[in-house]
Amino acid sequence: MVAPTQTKMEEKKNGNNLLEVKGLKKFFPIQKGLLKRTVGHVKAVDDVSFFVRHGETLGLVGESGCGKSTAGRSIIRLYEPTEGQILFESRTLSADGNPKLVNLLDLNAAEMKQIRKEISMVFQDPINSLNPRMTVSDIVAEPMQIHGLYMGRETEEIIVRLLERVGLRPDHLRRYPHEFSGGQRQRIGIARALSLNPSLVICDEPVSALDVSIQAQTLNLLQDLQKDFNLSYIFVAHDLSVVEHISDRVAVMYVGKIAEIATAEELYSRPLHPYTEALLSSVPKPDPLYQSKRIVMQGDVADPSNPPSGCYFHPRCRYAEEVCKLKTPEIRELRPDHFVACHRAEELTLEGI
Amino acid sequence: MSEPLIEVKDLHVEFDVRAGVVKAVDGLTMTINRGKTLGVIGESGCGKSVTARAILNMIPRPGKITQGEIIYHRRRGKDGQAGLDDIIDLSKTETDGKVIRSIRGGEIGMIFQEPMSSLTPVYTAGVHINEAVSLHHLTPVRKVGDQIAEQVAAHRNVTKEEAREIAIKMLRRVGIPKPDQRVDSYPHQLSGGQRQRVMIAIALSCEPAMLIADEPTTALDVSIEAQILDIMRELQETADMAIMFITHNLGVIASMAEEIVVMYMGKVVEQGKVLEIFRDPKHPYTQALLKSIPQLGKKKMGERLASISGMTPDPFNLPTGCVFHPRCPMFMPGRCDKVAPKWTQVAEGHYASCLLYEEA
Repeated sequence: MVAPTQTKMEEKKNGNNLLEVKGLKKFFPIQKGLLKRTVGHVKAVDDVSFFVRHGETLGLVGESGCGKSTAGRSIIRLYEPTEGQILFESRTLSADGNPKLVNLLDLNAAEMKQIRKEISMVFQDPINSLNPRMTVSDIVAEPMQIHGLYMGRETEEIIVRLLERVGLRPDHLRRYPHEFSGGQRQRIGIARALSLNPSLVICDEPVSALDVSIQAQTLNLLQDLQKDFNLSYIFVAHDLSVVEHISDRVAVMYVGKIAEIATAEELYSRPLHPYTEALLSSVPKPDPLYQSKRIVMQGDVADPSNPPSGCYFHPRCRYAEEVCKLKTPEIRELRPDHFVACHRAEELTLEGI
Repeated sequence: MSEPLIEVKDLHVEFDVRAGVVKAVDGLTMTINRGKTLGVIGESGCGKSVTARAILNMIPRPGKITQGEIIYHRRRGKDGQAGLDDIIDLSKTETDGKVIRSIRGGEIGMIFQEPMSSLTPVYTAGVHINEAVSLHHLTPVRKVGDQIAEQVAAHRNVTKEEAREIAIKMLRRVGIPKPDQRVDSYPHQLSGGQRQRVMIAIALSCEPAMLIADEPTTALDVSIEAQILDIMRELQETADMAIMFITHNLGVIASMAEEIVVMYMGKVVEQGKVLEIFRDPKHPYTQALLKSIPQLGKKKMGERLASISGMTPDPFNLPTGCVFHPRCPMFMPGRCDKVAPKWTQVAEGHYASCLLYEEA
């Protein structure tokens, strides 16, 4: 069962993948007592595989606590992954100038530092992710200083251009983060993420804290920057309509596992996993005449330290059968570029949007 | 027919801070009818939460109601007739007086947003939790059940045992599993969605005539959000409760409200039935707001969102004329920046304040 899936994934890789995550696991130990003995693990990310092509956006959605942010952070080893492979096409680590495929988990600290030039992050909270004692120009210049790329006046010009590109004025350079609105702060965060000319940007809920009109401005900016700099994004968010708008492909996560990955259009119109179907049906539509066909998911999200047997979603799934309680479903490609982890995916006809 | 419960007339709320005076609410008029849902939408800082607090007469200092009336039609007894209502101007009641205290929480309940970005980096997590929880009126060292029971006891004449029974009943009603055990849980033992449901249970335990829901589901996942909205709808039907629903989520408001008020910089810019607002928005701000949200299932590749240009203006230095004119796509030079628009009827029961609809 496992082998064909693996080869399918391999085949895809031979296309033009910037990043490929294989069997990523991140378990947080639960320690108890005086001796801090490990009594269990929170399986935040549990055997997750996906890939990101050049210049595309992969959306990562799911309910809170499903491990989407942990997965994003594990990629640049902000959290040290427990197991798995993270293959990344690196420019800086190759000797001959051609991109070279490296496993990030095999790298030492010095090599990892080089990789952080190529993969950067934009965080959710624009207030806490900016140092309140640093000016905007310091914040944007800091990554360049750390990597020894700071060249005085020349760099200043780069920073000014970068800030203008994200919609800030040069006279903002000497100001502090508290002088800006939420949307402007997020722009500073984006400018900082782009200062080292990365190829992959991991956006962790970048618009969740923003007002609708500012959210639209920020999403447009991210799309423009993607075109201009040929960026790939991993876009972690819980808002399904935002993810649909920005993503080329979308991965749905549930309790540390990937339930389904497909192109945005396919996933939203023809979901194959009952969890995706239920999630889509819960989104309130901005249309007063819309008759909700909401599928009620019984109970709460499973506890990642003590997940149910078989398919983690089975206690809440209205299609669950005996096999779902016993066996963990493998993720497999059911339609071209459409992967799903559900025993009954073939026989079910699920409704999209 | 619709019978008014709260009438807000020409309300002005000002915050006199060192840098100047902020007009948080500037001449707001609206009516909340018995048993109906009024949706209030707008961006942060537009004065929607301040309006809600003004109704309960609990504007934080240095804010003050400087002008206007908030008429509350208080029903005498449970089976009282509309004609026998007491009419109370809530804005004139004493902030800490007996009258307003019996209304707050008892006759008008309120649910707050889960505090998400209000954390100060200099406090430990523990202090934060205490603070957040006390904002929620949930005290961490006391059981959830006791807190509901206390609310009931404060507003209804019941014994301790009866209050506990009511607490369990309320928890069951808001869909908390095993309510007879959960009643003895502390807030930290509950998930975010459950905590919000307890908040709703507290607000509803005294069968209020009106519920003010200030962004009640913003911090929750869609699946939990849908559950909470169902509970609110169901309780509204069974208890004939009015809801003032404040949100910036247009999807939520479309499914909840009968009537919508759109606010911008302390003013109502448009008001109408939910269908009219979504199908035929008149004010350029409402139009822009509706266009700026990505719609599910309507993806076009490479499509951009129509965003509103610029930012909300500096509250100390509001633009002249129409406050929206610097960002407005329909800006008419020489008029919009000079003349303040008047409240104009644009269709049956549909009002907007925009010079486009005023006769020159």
